[in-house]
Amino acid sequence: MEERTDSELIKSFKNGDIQGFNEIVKRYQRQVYWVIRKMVNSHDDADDITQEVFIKVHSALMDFREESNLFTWLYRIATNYSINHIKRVKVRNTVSFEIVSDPIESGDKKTDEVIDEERKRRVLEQAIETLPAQQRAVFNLRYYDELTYEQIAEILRKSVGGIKANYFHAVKKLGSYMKTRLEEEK
Amino acid sequence: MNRKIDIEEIKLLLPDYITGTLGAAESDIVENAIKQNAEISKLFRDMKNALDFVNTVSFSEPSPRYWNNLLPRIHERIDQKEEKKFLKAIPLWWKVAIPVAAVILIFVIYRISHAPDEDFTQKKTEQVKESVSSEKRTTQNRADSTQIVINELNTTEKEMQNKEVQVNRRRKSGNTDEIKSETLEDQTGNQSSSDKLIEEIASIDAYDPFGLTESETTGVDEEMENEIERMSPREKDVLLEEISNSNL
Repeated sequence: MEERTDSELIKSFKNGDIQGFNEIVKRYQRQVYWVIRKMVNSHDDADDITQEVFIKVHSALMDFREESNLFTWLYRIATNYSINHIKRVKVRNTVSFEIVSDPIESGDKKTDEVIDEERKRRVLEQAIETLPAQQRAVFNLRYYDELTYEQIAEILRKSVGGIKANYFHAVKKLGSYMKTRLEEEK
Repeated sequence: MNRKIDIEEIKLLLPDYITGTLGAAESDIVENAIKQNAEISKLFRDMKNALDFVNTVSFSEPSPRYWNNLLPRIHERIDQKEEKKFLKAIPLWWKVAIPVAAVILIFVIYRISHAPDEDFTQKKTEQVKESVSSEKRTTQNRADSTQIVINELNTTEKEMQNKEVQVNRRRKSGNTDEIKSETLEDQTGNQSSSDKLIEEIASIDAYDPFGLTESETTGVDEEMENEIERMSPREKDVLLEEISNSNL
């Protein structure tokens, strides 16, 4: 069976078919989750915000005029909710271990490698947390999701030049942090 | 072209140069700038180290069960939200009016279910009214009879007084024969009228002179009747006087 397009799913939902919404969730849940997860650095927070994003989508989808595509709209909601969450929560000095309710998928790695990976993740989370919310969002969307500056500008409703500057400063700050951290570890 | 501005523009291209997403022409410009400019060279080294590090970090992926459970949990929260919205949409006065109306309705249903039989109540009321009316009539009749008796008593008393006056007059005039016959007649008359009065009095129930009790036949009991018969005419007169003064 051919997969329905985003427009068809939206139209289906507007005609009263809840399956339209369900399909949208299943199609974009991972992308939305990871955008949020890399912003907030916590699985529990990411889970909560992901649900809120889709609840918002459910309530606003009837009025969605498709001026931008569904993907951009979802990313915009996810990023805004994440930025709002970051602003609400105080910057943590220490990052707690990630507590994921379900075990890591690849279970064949050696213990040392697992520990090392966790250490690196911790360092990265700390580095990301030094970034302002806007720069954090731009870095994640550009580096991890590989979106164009134009797409990011549309999502965040900023200029392309402003987005480029945000990305440059985000990477520059990460560079400075890593350099200091490596010098401390030596 | 201002060299400084070029350097600032080149700096912005560094992250994309590191990740390999720049075009060929721009890449050459950045490469030359790195070779010729110490500041850009330093920036390039720090940024590359950072992005290389980021590239080595992996995040733990949630299990498939998480993805399968996400949609049902989203629907659960949507339902909760809609329920709250509904309650919020109800105006405040409705939230007060509905419980009050419920209480009133319960009260009305309770009253209806415990209300006495109307027909029975009506019949009973009519019976009571009828009985009260008949009692009133009986009482009135009794009162009328008593009044008649009292009037007769008064009349008899007056007659007796007149007779006495006549007798005294005649005694004074000295007509003894007339006096005797009249006295005898008077005595007889008085006696007959006294007997009548006794009968009348007997018909009045001493204990219920207005006939308020159910029985209409008792009147004066046997003992009292005997006592009245044993009385002398003078005693009977005194009794009559007392009865009339008592406003029976």
